[in-house]
Amino acid sequence: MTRPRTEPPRTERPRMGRPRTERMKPAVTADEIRPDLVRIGRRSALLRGLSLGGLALLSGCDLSTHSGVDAALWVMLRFDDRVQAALFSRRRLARTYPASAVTTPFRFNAYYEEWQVRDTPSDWQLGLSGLIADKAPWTIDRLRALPQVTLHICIEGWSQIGQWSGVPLHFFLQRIGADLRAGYVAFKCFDGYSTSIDMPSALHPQTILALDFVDKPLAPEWGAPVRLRIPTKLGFKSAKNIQAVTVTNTYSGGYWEDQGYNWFSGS
Amino acid sequence: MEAPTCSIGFCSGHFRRDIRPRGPRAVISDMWAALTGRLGHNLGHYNAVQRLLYAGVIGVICVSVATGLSIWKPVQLGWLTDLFGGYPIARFIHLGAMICIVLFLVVHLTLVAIFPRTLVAMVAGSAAEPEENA
Repeated sequence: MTRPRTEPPRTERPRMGRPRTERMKPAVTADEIRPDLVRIGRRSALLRGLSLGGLALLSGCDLSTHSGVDAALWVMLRFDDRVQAALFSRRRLARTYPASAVTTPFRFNAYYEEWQVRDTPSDWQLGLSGLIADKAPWTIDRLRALPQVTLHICIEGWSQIGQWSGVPLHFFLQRIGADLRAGYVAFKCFDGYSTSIDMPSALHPQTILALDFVDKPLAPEWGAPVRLRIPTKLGFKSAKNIQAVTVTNTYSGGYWEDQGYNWFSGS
Repeated sequence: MEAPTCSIGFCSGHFRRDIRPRGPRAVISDMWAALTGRLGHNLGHYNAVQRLLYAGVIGVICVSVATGLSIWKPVQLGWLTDLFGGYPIARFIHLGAMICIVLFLVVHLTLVAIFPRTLVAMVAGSAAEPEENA
């Protein structure tokens, strides 16, 4: 099979822009930079090599999990935790607001949709484990008999102010004979959530086991029957629907923390 | 990297000599010269617009770090958050600073693309025209 050869007439092609030879000229010629290169001393070259080293590190970022980069990022997160723990003081209080500033309706937040909120199990008791002298579980009535405080506080970044009443966690921990020198207080929730906090934050005067939201017992969507409310940390640390409290020296992570959220998340 | 670079800049007199802004009249005249294509370009010598932008972006980076700290730790560094007028305002200032840095980078990189020869001086740090040294 033969096709008629239709070669384009080369000479008639319109020439766009500059001639080809000129376009291939490099933006920087060797002659132009030679005096610059001579002037770079050994010392300054070494100094600037430092920043090149930083760039070389970046080139290793393939952002895949279970890689060396992933491990390095976890090391950075643990370092971040230590910096935040060093910055933390139990004497510095989160800002409080008048009762009139309470936001209504209050925003719902969980790792699931609002229709998936679970009611409190009928046989609910607050379980205790770990470095605690009296591990007897607590009923809701016993918890409500403890002295309570009321806080009007904002969840950082939300611009939503809530009114929470409950038992200060430091009072509860002392009452059950928890080892207050332990590293962590961990919370397990019956909605599948979990989190853990450092002991200094657990002993902060504004950290409470909340029982009421705006003068009413917590509704399921606000964390019934008891939830953590810790205004010196980001919102996700305030675990809802608490089932068990553990005092421990073993790092316990949490639902979001195990997926790469910063563990300390203090404010 | 930023902190040692900045301290070197301050101690060597680089900021005082090369970056300190030169007043609004010089900025306007240099800006006009640049827009009409009559502004010469000497490596290592910054015109009034460059001085304003470089000094400005250093200031904006400082504001960005300070507001960043204030929204990172609004309880522990509450005095810093109050200094910026509270958490929501500090957050807006932080966003604004970020936008300013991005705009600076767009102008900066566009001009580097137009004058690629400056890239060598930026990386190598030599501050004179090759012709002058011949």
